[in-house]
Amino acid sequence: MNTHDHDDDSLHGEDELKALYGSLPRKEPSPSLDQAVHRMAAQAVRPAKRRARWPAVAASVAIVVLAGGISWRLYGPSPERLAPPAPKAVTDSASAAAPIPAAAPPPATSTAPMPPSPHETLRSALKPRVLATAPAAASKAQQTAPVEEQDQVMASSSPVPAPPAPPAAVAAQGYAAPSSVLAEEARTGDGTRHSVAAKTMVMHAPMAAPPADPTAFKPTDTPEQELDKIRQLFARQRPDEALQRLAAFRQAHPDVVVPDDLQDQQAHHE
Amino acid sequence: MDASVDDDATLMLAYAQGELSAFDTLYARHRGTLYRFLLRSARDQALAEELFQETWSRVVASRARYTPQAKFSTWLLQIAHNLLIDSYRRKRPMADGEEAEQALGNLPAPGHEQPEHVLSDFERRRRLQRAIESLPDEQRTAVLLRLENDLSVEEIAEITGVGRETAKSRLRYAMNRLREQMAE
Repeated sequence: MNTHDHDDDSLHGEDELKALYGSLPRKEPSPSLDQAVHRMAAQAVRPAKRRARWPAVAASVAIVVLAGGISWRLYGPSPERLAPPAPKAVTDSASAAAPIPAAAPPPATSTAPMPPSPHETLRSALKPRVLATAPAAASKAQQTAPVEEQDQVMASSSPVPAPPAPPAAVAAQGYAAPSSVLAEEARTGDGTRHSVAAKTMVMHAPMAAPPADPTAFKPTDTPEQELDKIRQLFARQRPDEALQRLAAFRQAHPDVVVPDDLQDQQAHHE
Repeated sequence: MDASVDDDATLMLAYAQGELSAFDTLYARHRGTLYRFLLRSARDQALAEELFQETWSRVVASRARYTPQAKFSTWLLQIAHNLLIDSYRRKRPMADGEEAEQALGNLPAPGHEQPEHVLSDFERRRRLQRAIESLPDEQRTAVLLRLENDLSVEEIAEITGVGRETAKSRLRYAMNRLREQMAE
């Protein structure tokens, strides 16, 4: 290496020091320290295998729930038993005339909101339980026609999150459905549906974007960009945030040396 | 990169894929030099062991994003150096390079008791250890990286995050100081 020639000139007596240094006791890590490091390294690669089992567990749960749903549909109470006390002829003709709600397009001219049929109620009640483990996109694709219509309402109101329903209104529903939010969505009452959907959206939607901040953290930033942002945070008198970001940076990039000015800022503010 | 560097990188990448034996090999190669560097830099066995473990912990934690852009040993020592700096900062305010070098010039020279005494090997080793311990942190780091790890000035500069001239200056002052104390 070129620099060694210069170093040899300037570091007079280095060979003697090296020889003496080499005669110092060559201490080694203790066996317990070796074991601790080995254990740590082993544990780090072990969780990956454990994590790989999760999809299988989730799939098993989904299959059990699905099987339960199918059994319920096949051997559970018949729709007739759950039907409201309406004239039998009307119920029969309605169920015979109407195809499966999922396949039927919504009537073009709906005169009045119809109460959900028992069949549809059962389907709706079952669906969220199965979909509870499915992605949102999948659930959207399986929505029935009325639900699609409601989703349009949701989409139209999506830019401004709807306020949560008044607790009293939710409490007043008093239905015997499962208590999960998704099961609650199965209700077909418009007001309840919308308020629950709004709550669900609020829960699942990403947080509202803060106002544009040039120092905001971006995962795609290079280490240099992140350091510059940390520097700006110090300059803007936001030392707490800067220290937090610097700590995270050093944790995420242990091999990137923090510049002297930032180290000084860190020492000054700590 | 020479063959051993490539080999280190290969081992690290293999460990990132879950091959624990690759980590064991890598660890066996670097454990001694890293431990001695930390021990003689920190001058405190408990602290050195803590930093040693933390250094490897960071190696383990960063296995997925590791890319062999530098020598593995340099990367490893960088992590260790960052940790040392943090420990120095926790203990006391750090003097910058210039201050440290001025302070070095003003250090009283110990060991005038028996100038005519020919030091035994044991005494010479003990004196060297003490001389290393008495160096300012930055100079001690530089000289240990040189003597223990046999690194070039460029590598020392890279690990300590300073320019080449600063690294060379620290090294030169440290070496001079050690030679002076050994000659006393």
